Amino acid sequence: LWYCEGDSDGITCYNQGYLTSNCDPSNPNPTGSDSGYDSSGSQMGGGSPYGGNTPPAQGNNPILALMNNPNSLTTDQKTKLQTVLTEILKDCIGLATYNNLTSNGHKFDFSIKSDTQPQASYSPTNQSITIKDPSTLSTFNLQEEFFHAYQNFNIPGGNSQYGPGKTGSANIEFEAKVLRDMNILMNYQTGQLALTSDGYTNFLKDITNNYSSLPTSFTSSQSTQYFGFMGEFLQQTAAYSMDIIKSDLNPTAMFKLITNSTCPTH
Amino acid sequence: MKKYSIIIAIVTMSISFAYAQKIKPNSIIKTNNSTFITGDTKGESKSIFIENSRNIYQNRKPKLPPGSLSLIAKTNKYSLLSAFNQVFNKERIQELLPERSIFIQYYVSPSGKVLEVRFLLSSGTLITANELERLEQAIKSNVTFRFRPEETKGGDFFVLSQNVSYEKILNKTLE
Repeated sequence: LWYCEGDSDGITCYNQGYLTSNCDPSNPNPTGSDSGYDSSGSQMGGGSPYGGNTPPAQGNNPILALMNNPNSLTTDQKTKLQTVLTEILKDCIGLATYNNLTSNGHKFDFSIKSDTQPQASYSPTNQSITIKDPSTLSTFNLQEEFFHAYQNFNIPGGNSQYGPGKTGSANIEFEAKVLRDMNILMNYQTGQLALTSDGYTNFLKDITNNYSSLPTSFTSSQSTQYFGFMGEFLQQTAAYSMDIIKSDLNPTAMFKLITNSTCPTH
Repeated sequence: MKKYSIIIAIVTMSISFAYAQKIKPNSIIKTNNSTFITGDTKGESKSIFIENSRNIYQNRKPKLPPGSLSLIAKTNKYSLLSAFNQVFNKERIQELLPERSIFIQYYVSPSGKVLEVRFLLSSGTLITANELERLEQAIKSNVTFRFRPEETKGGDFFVLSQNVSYEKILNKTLE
């Protein structure tokens, strides 16, 4: 994915997060990529590459821009994290999440804890991201934690008020799952969706306009379905069975991220 | 006269048989070697699930929850492309291109073997049940998945989903 930024020194272009070259201002999109999803399955940025698409600040090591203390991880661990992040940055939602966090100066304490249960977790109180094993970390896992961080900075009052077991905790988790599932299907990837029911599969197809674009809002009917599937999700997923739904907490963080991304939207 | 009657009967049967292969909601469709069943149209997109009547996993709950697998990879990343190419030629895929994609649900054993598949199609799809029968077989024969063994312990089967782009089949980038 190419994108460029301009400053007093001219225009600099990046390819998939890596500093590539200075480019011709009259041709800021040197690969000729267009909007929508490219043929390789990764999402391509749409519209002007100058429009709200700030490239990773750390040249060929964008993970550093998210780290409070780069020395908290070994070089090998950082390299593995960077590999996962590079995949995330190929996707317009992953890129939008990363750009929002870095452009607002948000940094996190990264740590590795092999005895933790989830592959990755984010703490809104400590601004920390804990990873079980960088070797087995998937793009889905890390992107989900980045999105939780995005929620924290974009939901009034932050995520802490909706911690595990509190009213609203189900909303925080399910919003992240729906965003992930839409992305899996629109990117033509193979994955485990949050729910396997036919209704949920049809819901994903509907809200993405037959997998062509991401929603910036729900219709009343879609919103009703969304909360219904949230309940189904709690019933079927033991890890979240103690979470509680807040009926007026809509997925506004997801819509805001989609709206400010370069993904195709409706 | 008798000759004309026989011809008309044959033509009528042929038309009926061809029509029977079309995917319609709430139907039982006989194919060459199997029977496929379709569900109701659902959602704003009026989509239909279709599967082999011998399928058993859809009504079962997997022992391990969704999200238990951190690695989901095809053993041969172009195996699904091979499966489609065994069933559809280029001209046929071009005919299907306006439908954009076909959604596939795989039911997979802990060792990565595809046990069953289900398809989600838009109503009015041009795909026939006979093509789906052949595609089902081609997927079962060609596609296997690779998981981390430690993540499949205690599992009986896993439900994986993929939206398959016809354009990716045409340009040979389907994985």
